[in-house]
Amino acid sequence: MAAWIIPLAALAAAVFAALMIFQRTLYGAAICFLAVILQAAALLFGCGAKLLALLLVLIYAGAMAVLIVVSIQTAQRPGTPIWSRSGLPRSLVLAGFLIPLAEAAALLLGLGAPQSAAGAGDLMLGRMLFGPYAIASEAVALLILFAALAVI
Amino acid sequence: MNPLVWSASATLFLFGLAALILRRELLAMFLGLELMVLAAVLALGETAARLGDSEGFVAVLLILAIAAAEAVVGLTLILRVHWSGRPPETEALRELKG
Repeated sequence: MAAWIIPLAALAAAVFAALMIFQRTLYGAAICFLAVILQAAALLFGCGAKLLALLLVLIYAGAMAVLIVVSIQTAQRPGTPIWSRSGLPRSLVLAGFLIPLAEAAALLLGLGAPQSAAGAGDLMLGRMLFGPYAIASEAVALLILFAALAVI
Repeated sequence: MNPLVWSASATLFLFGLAALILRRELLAMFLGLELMVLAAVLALGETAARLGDSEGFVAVLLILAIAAAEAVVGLTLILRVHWSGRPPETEALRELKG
């Protein structure tokens, strides 16, 4: 396994989390949060939790980050500049997207593929979700449905 | 135990807590809260992967789904505050019904 991926992802996650606090613009904070999510997914992938990494990207980066950006756009006061001078430097924005891309390429090319048995854990997870934890899964699905209804 | 993942998780949690305490805008506080949830998911996911524990994976999945539902409700509440004409800072929210 490529030894550099986990330290790089851990460091990048910490740096972007620190940057998130000090962003004056909410867009900058949201981009830092997105970079942290991608780094956390790389960390989980590097630990061998491939499915969790994929779900983290799908749910957090794909759904929640979009929701957050839409909320920021909706709640923005008229005339507020999207990027202020104190926003993220473009080099950091670029790094926030290039580092996950490099990690994903390395992991997918097998340079940092985890050593766990592929598929066995996922099969067990499916059996657990639709077996002993079926009621909990249905309850969470209902919770999401009620949350969507509450929005409407 | 992977010390790097655990230290990253602890760092993320502390930065999320700092964002929650230091920032005044509701959306920035919400981002801090989500960062704390992400740190917990990271620690739990690493432990489940290391131990090969399927119940840990199930717990992480349920936490992710609940966090998504919580995000929807939280963002809706923040937008309701915005649409009510009040400023998006916490100082403006002193009453539950007003």
